[in-house]
Amino acid sequence: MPGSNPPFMSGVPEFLILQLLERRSMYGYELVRAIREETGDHISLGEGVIYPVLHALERSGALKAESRFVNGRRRVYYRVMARGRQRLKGLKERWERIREGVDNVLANTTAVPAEGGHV
Amino acid sequence: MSERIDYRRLSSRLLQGGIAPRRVRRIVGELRDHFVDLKSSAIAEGMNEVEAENRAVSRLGTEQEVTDAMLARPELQSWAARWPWAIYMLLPPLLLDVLSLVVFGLVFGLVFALSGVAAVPDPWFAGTVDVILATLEHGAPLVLCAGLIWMAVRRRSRSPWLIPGLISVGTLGGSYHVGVDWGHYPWQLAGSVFFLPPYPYPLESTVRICVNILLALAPYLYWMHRQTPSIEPE
Repeated sequence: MPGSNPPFMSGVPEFLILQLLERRSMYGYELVRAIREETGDHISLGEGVIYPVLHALERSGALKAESRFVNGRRRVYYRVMARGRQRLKGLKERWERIREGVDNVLANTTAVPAEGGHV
Repeated sequence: MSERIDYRRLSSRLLQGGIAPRRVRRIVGELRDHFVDLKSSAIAEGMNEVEAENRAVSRLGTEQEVTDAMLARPELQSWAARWPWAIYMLLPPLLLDVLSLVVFGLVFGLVFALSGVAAVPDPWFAGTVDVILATLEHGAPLVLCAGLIWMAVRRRSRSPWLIPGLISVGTLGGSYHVGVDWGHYPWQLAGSVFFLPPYPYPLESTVRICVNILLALAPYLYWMHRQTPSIEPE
């Protein structure tokens, strides 16, 4: 399993959580498993750290938590609210801009001469 | 290898960091469930008990990571942690005022509902109301102080605002006098509330202030004294 990559992760857990929960409501463990499976194990989170993100999103009104009994166990399911969808839209746009910028840099293979004329 | 999360210590650290008790209970419950799920899934994959537990521990992350992630989000802090001066200093006198208004409202409402405007209330009714008001006068400040202490202990709070808050409730409560003057006719009915000097009964008020402060501070100082050895430096 690849190690976690904190410097690149700013805002990513929130983005993934909202994107996955938009499809259907899930509880914490289910959500982490979905992130692992859907990112092909490329994005690894300290799994306990997902809960502060979920609680903060709930506090901001982006998510709603509901307690349900499933197979004799109490589970806290999270689902996306209108504010969450709006936030997800903003995050997607931001992500697209970043990706486009990085793609441009990667696509440009021409060496840029240094100020002194050396490459 | 990561160390298994000590949920009790985690709760304490989150509460001391200002996270509301209800949220702490919920997040700890979620982490426990998550751990059980991780372990069950590892066992289902063929690991033995020890291996499964080790994998669950390493996947869940450390207590420090969870604590840092929670405390990095000020929006998860309770009102008492964000505005302690308002909760411990402003709210109690306000509650005392509101309580007095509610009681007066009930008394006046009952007087007019039971006796109408044409008669003075029966002595039993006036006596009952006087007993209720005396209980309110002596009991309400102490109940408020107990409420503040309960709130602080539940949150493991060592807010510097709590002791001034208790002293202010003890002082206001000691000088708190609430009474009804029945008069001879219903339209002479009048209510009175005293909070601040000059007190109607200075000696009695001073004694009550001292008793209130003593009764309010003693349990909190005792709790602080018991907690001191177990509190880790920030």
